[in-house]
This record gives sequence, structure tokens and C-alpha cells, in this order.
Amino acid sequence: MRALVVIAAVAACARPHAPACSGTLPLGDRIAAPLAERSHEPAIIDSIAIAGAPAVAALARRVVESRPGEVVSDAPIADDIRRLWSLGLFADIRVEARETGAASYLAHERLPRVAVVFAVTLRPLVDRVQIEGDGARDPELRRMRWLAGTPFEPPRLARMAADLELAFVRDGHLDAKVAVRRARAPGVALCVIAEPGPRVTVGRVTFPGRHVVSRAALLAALDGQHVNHPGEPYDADALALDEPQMIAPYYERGRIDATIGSPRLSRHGHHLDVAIPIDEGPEYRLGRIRVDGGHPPPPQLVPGAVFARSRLFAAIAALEAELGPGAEVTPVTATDRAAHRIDVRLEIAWRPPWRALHWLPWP
Amino acid sequence: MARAALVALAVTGCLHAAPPGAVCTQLTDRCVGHAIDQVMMTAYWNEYDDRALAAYVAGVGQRLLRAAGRTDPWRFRVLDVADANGQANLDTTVYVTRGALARLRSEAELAGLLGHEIGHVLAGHGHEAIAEGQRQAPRSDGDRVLRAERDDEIQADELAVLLSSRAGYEPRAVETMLRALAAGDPRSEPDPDDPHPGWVERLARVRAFAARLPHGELGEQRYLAAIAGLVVGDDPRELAVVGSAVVLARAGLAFDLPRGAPTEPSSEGLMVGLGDGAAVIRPISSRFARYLAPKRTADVWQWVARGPHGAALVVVTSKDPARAAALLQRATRAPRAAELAALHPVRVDLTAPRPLWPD
Repeated sequence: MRALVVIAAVAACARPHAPACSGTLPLGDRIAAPLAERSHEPAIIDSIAIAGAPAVAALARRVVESRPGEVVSDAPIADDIRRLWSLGLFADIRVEARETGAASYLAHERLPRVAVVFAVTLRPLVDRVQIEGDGARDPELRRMRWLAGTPFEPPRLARMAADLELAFVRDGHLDAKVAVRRARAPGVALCVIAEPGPRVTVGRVTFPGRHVVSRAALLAALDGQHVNHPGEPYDADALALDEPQMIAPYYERGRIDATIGSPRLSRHGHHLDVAIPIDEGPEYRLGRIRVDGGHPPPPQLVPGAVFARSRLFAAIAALEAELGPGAEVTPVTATDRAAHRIDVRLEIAWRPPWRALHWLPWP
Repeated sequence: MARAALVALAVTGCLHAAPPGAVCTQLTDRCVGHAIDQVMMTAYWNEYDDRALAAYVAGVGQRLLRAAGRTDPWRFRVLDVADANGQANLDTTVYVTRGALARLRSEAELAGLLGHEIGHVLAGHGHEAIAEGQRQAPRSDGDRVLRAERDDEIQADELAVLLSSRAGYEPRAVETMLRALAAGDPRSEPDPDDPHPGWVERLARVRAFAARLPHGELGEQRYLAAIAGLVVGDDPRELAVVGSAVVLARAGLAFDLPRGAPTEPSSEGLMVGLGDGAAVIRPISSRFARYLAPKRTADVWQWVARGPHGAALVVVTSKDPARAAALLQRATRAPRAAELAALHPVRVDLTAPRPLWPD
């Protein structure tokens, strides 16, 4: 007998321990019920009440926009249900229209008066929260632990889970999954299952179509952020913001039509190769150079030379310095796309030497 | 967004340079929170000079923390700021302004305010800001971020009710705390850029939750005794115009103004018209003054005027800033006894009825 007890105990220990979150249910949430079945005869609203939550009835009443004296209509009532729903307090909302026995006349038609009652059920409180998965110890999960004892609000829980999942993804855990489910137990017991999965980082970054600008120069345009470099997470938003920096070297080489295409991603295990296609476009050269007022063209701009944005800005700065304080030089360009030529005219305007402050009356 | 920028700055500071006596050298909530606290207390805030009140507020905070199962030491700062606000750092530091304290009337309401901020820290709401600061990458999903911040505020309100109740306070006081802070705010719908829910939703949530919890103590008499004499509104001893002088009594500085010079308060300080230009005078701490160097350009001069107990940042914009600066520097002196005697801060009136939202 004793041997049987020992064998049974050993067998129990050897059985894999079932996780607490097994046997869970989706969160579920009752969608607001439509207007209760009633006669489709027109009726006048006699009164409006919130029933089922006396503590918050007065506050909830403030968001209901239907008014006594109005004709009962499904669309405004549905809007009121949505407003009550948006308070986040109620697990269930039903609407009843009860005839009062009184009547009113509208355009010579006798209409019964009804009491409209929004019957609400408050959300229950969360009894306990169990967090499982490889991401259970992540600091971001703290907010889930503190759900215990607070109202059970499935839409907000679903958002929190989605946000946590997104946080993992932004950190490179592209396969992350975070789910909140309800355990099969009395009361409200939540199971949070956080599986970040492996961290996927950028492997190789290539620029198909690149010829006139070096790979190093284009990679340098991605500098300054801790994403999108080999070994770091991939971030599409940051890449989109880097586009002007990637285009800038092309503007120095006459390639004013250059475009950066949408990146193509290919995953190899825990690495993501990023291919950023580039269409470099044709090379543009300077055509006619004119300066207002008959001034000679600045030496930085030579007809026939490859267009370079920095040389244009240098020419503007040099001309403004030569003309003196108050001079403002603005470039006006005309582009011949067939001939790949850019004509430049430098406009000169004069600003007053001092702009007075206007925010105080002068003594 | 300003908060995100500040976190990014603090994250960078933690990553690249551990200051002497740093709390830690790792990129943790505590490190970043400490850096933020140092920056804010140096450049922007002063603590309200009432040690007994500070100790009282800390005592209420510690009671809430014990109810949350936390035994580590936290810091509670009462800021010398007229606006009603509370704020939590990423670290274990909670700030509450004297403006907020002046609107409350019980210890339970104070517990509600502190509980909300403690809730933000316990739930790690600022932690993602650290990751974002380190990543330094932009977000294109602004609406989602705002929705997530709004969910954080809802959770912080819930934790205020929960912790207050667990600590033995009346949980329904969280609602009156919110209504006191909301008084004078006509909005009932959420501001599109404000992470806090609209007042109707916020109060309804708090009221519904608190109604399910047992009653607790209010602690009215203890609270009223603690805030007796509390300064409300702008403190004229910080900066005021007395006669034809700008007086910074706390710093121990005064500036004689040109006859008839107009003055206008602004968020940057006091603006003074100087004929062909203007000056802005702003009181700063001696500690912050150490980080500011004089600046001179063709149009703008900036310098720090030092007093025995504080300093003032002076910025002059003029066609001839050298002349305007010399004028002001010659006009700098210590405040006179008569000027100091004219500066009377307004104290909280505990007999007047208190406005509560909705008005």
C-alpha cells in the first residue's frame, strides 16, 4: 500500500504542470442591445431615466441627448446608447419604452407618451490576474497586474493587449503576441499571455538602383537613431523620415528627379534584410544664369556645370554678402526636363534694417 | 510631446554621462526619473517652503504605498506653483502643487490625488517613454498613442480609488478631488489633444467604482490644519511691480524702471518696455543660474543678475541692446524695506465655499 502511495506521488510530480491560463475564454463584451421590440406606432417621449446604476444615473443622464417632448426615433436613441457605452461603465445597456397611458397631439395626430428607460448593468470587478508566457516579467506588463480589483472592461483590455504587442514589435519582436482572456473560474479571472517571440533585427541594408552615390553615404543618412541599422530593430516610420537625407546627395549631383521607393523586406531567421530601391533619374546641368539688376552671375554658378544645391545656396549667400545688409536673394528656376537643363534667375529684394516690436504701446 | 522630449533628453543623459553621485548608470526608470527630477527642480520648479506641510503630504503618500505593498522610499514634493496640478515622475517621485492643495479639503482628497500619481508609477505608464526616448524614432500613429495615454489616465483614476480604499480613506473623495480640480473648467468633452478623458466620463467612472467599496475616513480636520496659511495664486514675493520698480523679494533683487515704462506679465516672465526695445525679467534659482552664460548678439543681450538668495534672468531686445542693458544693470539694487512690506501673498480662505465641477 505504501509503495502504491509513493508511486502515485511520483507519477503526479512527473505529470507536466497545467498552466493556470489553460481553458480560457475570449473576453467577450455584450454589444449594446437595439431598441427593445415595441410597436412601430409613433410615440412622444414623456420621460427619460437611467435604471440599474443609481450611483451614476445623474452623470450618465448628462450624455443622453434625447429629450422629453421629442418623437421616439431609433437613430437618436441609438446615438444615446453609443454615448452611454463610451463612458466605459456598463456591461449591458437595454432600452425600453413603456407607455404611460397619457397622450399628446402632434399635427392633429394623437400619439401615446412613453417613458424611455435605459436599463444598464455595471461592469463587474476583476478578481485576479494571472500573467504567463515568456514576456511575463517584462516591465511593460506591470499595468496588467494592477487590473486586479478594478472594473472589468473588455474593450480597454483588448486595447491594452494590442498596445503591449505593438511595443514588443517596435522593439524588434515581430512575432509578438499578447492576449488577454478570461479564465474558466468563478468571478472574473483574467489571463494575460505574453509571448514576445525572438527579436528580429536588421541584417543587411541595400539600395538597388544606386550608382552615383556610395552605399556608405546613403547609410550615413540613417544615422542618429537607434533603428534601421544592422543589429537594430526595423522602423518604417523612421525610414520614411530619413528620406530627405537620402535624397540630399542626389541633389548635389544634378539628380533632381531622384526618388526613394518603398523598402522591400526579406526575413531570414532572426534577421531582416532591407532593400531600399532608388531611381536616380537623369543628370541635370545649369543653363542660363541671370541676376536681377544686371549684376554679373556669381562664380559658383557656371553654365553647363552639373547642378548642385549647395553651390546654389553658396552663390546666394555670397551675393547677399556682396550686396550688403538688407539684401534678400531668392532663386527662381526654370527646368527643361527634355534637355535636362536648369535655368536660374536670382531675384533681389530689400528688407528694412530694423523691425520694431509691436507687442507694447510705446511711451 | 514636451514630456516625450524631456524623457528623450534624460535618456540621452543617462546613456552618455553619469553625473557625479548619480543614482545609477543604467538606463532604468530610476535613472531617467532622477535625471528628470534634477532638470525640473533646477530649471523650472521650487519647493514650497513649508517643511511641516511637506512631511504631512509625504506621510499620506507613504500610507498609500503601504496599502500598495511597497516599502521602498518614495519622494513627495510640494511645488511652489499656483496652478492646480499633480504629476508623477518615471521614478518614485510624485509632485503636487500648492495650487492643487489649496483646492482640496480633506486628507482623503489628498490621498486621491497622490493615489492617481502613484498609480501611474506602479503601473509603469511612463516606461514606454524610456524605450521611445532611446529609440529616438518617430511615431505615425498619434491617435493610437493618445488613446493609450487616455487608457493610462483611466487606470490611474481607478488605482486612486483602489489605493485610497485599501489605505482606509473614503474612496468617494477621489470624485470630489477631481471636481475640485476641475472647477472653472467648462469642458465636459475631452480635448482632442488632452490624454485625460472628459469630466463626465471621468467622474462617472470614479463614482461607479467607489460606490462598490466600503466607506473610509475623510481626515478633514488634519488636512485643514496642515494647509492653514497656504499661499494661493501668484506669490508677489517671487516677482512684483511696486511703484516704479520690479521687485524680486525672494531673490533679494530689484530693478528701477524708466519713468512710464509699461509692464506686462507673460509666460516667459515680466516684460518691460524700454523705448526702442524691451526686456524680459524672470526669477530663477541660484542653482540654475550656474548653467547660464551671458549672450550677446546684434539685437539681443542676456545675462543673470544675482541676489543674495536667488537670481534673475534678464533678456533685452533692442536696436542698441548694449545701451539698454547698461541702463538696467545700473538700475539693479537690493529691495527696500518699504517695498518688501508692500508684498502680501494671499492665503487660502478655508471659510469661503469651494467651487466644484459642474459649476
